[in-house]
Amino acid sequence: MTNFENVVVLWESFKSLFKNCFGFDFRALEDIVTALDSIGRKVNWNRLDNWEDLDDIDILHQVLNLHVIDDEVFVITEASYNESAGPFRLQPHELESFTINHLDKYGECFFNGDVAIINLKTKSVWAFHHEGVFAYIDNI
Amino acid sequence: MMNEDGGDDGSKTITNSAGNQVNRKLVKDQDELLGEAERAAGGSLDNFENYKPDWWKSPDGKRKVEWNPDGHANVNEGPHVTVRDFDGKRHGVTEKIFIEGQEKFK
Repeated sequence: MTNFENVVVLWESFKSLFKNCFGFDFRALEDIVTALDSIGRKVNWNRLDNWEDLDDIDILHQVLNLHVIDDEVFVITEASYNESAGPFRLQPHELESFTINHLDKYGECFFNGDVAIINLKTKSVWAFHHEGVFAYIDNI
Repeated sequence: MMNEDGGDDGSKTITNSAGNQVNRKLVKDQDELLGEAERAAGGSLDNFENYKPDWWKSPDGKRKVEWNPDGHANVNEGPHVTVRDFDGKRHGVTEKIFIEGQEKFK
């Protein structure tokens, strides 16, 4: 069982790590989309129809089908912007449990808008966009 | 993704990017688009918290307003305001408003 308190990191710390890794600022997933668009990087977005009717775990599986997560990741959900939370640092084996328990812990689904799952070591992002599309973007 | 079926009430029935028939309100310009965001926030976005770029939420967290004057390249959407209300699990779309003639991303 994931201890949710232990996985929350400070926004300042995460932003610093992100900037050092990718070379641009992170405030929201849209910053990644915009940065890639500005350099003409094509991203293959996959549509997930009626995603708001789906369970979090089913959406997660769709996203992870694009590429396996086998290393530590930072996860940004809508709840990350709440005062009591922040970016989440998770190990691969914690992700499913964290996703399933997100609603109980934070009062809203894991997928309640944009979700960014970021691997700083490989400079890769699993991106879920609130308009119902998702992508795996490597070598950013 | 507009399936042109315009009405006289400033709205249009469209097929959205998820393939569903939905009603979207249309306004004339960016000023009116901002006006829709302000209306959804009870008269002023200052009533809400700007918790991340383009997004505001009510003090109780139940309503979120996306005022996006640029649009989204990845889903080919032009400038829009989306109003979302919490249903106990997620903030589902209550209203979505575009600028007439700018429904798609430039």
